[in-house]
Amino acid sequence: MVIPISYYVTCSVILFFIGIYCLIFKRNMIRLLMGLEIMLNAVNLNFIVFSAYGVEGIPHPLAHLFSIIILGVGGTTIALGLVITLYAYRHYGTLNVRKLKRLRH
Amino acid sequence: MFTLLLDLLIVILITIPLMGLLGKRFGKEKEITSTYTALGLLSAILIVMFYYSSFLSYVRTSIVVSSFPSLEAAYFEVSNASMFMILLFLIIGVTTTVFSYSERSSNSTGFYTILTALITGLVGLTLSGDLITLFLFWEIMCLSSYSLVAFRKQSAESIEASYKYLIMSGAGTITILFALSLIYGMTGTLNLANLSSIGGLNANPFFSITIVMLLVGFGLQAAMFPFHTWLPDAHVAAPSSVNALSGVVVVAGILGLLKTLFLIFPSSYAIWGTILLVFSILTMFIGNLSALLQDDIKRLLAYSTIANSGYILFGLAIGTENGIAGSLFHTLNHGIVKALLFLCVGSIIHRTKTRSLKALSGIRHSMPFTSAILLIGLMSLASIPPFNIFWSELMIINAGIMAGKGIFSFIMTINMILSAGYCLRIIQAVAIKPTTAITKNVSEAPRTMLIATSILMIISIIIGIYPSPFLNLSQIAASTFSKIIL
Repeated sequence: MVIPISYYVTCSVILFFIGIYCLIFKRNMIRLLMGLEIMLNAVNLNFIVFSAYGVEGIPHPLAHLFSIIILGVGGTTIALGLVITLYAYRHYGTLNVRKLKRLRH
Repeated sequence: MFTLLLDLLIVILITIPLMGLLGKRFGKEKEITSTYTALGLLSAILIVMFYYSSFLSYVRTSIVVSSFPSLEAAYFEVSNASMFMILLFLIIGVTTTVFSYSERSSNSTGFYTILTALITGLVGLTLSGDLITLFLFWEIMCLSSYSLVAFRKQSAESIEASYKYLIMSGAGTITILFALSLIYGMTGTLNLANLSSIGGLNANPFFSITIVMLLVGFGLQAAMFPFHTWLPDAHVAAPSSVNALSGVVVVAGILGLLKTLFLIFPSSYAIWGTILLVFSILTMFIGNLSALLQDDIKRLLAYSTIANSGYILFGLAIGTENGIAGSLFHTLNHGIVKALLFLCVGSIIHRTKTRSLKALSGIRHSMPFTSAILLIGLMSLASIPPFNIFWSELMIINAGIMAGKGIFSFIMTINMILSAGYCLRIIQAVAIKPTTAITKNVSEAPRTMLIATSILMIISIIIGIYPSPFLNLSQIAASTFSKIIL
């Protein structure tokens, strides 16, 4: 028995909103980057599922290629984010994102 | 490998660090890297002018370049619209390189490498013919703008602004990706040419979600109203020469909207046109009203960028060929004028070390040339007729009236009065008020900074006096996008 495609899409939408929840309500700077990563994985799940369901039995290579590219690019973004987090920790002495408010007027 | 232009830019990008290494051997790192970058970008301009000259004529042409045809990926499409935008990116890249020669004191290799990466990302984004390529170059552009904002890593402001920009823009990028995955699920392809020929996506339930997600993601980069908060912070924190790219980075979002909404979803203009119309008007008001209240001159110009992005989005929301042509023309004009203003302000800040408008009053007595160029840029931003921004704003307002959206054109006119208000405030501070203790003892800006700003000033005046060739080019470019609508 084949699992209907809507189950997967629901799962990825839930993952996406978990990521957005994390971005809005969490305070730790590293946790926010993890929220981004969760959202990215929701996208990857979508691509892989759609590639399998396009033609029965033959996965479409385009989506696999794209999700590998997404993994690489996402890793780069997170690496840059961690570098910036490191510098922010040196400047502010905390990882709480609510404490970063020197720019607010 | 790709197109000639992109190959050249990638080769320059890879060889700048080597040049930096060579320069360190001889103790002339800054001279060698900046000259190399400027020459590389100049040769890219020459390639656009001569090798791709047919795309800058009044005939609509486009060619498709593909590396892996069987995979439907890695497509590049060279067309009139892309060459029109690329010329703007390269001109601003060259002037920024020339300008930052006097500004940089350390780590020039890193700076020029990331700057070239940003230009390469924008050029690739413009040329891309499928959504995978678009995403890849989009990420190159985004990553290099985060690192340029954080470039002065010893200042806490830069790091904070960069973190904010990274989180917001990262979330936006992933929202775009989610929309792309839904598009892929609905159609099975990500090639723009295939997608625009499919049509009939309206029956799908995920259809309107996709449109909203694209609007959120690209609108974030284009500083659309609820997501504009990263832009002023990033501009205040970044080095002055990077600010010159402000009008250009916003363009990336506009280009994304043009490529997706206009090519893939033209038949559902009724949905996204209305959303875009409402939010463009809100963006204009937020940008202009906030700019009126600022004392920090960089923050003021950043809010003005938000307002101008609102004008461009309004041109897109009109949806007719004239509206898109006005938007593209305004993108060119605003990019040049905003680069001019930020570079002038950057050279003033370089000398005086303050960003406060009150402290800068009477600067014209000690820096006459820079102030004269700044005044010309401000008059253009205030849309006074002989300068270039007047023509494009006129075009957008005219297109709005012709498309039966006269009331929104009227609202845009009110916004132009507001923007003239803050321009006059800066003009008053720079030219009329008496000098302060800070502005009395500064000297004129270095020569390279004056060269960079005068190039942009000359372009701005030329477009202002003789706009018809540029108008025609933008009309031709707009016809690439609007062939399906209405």
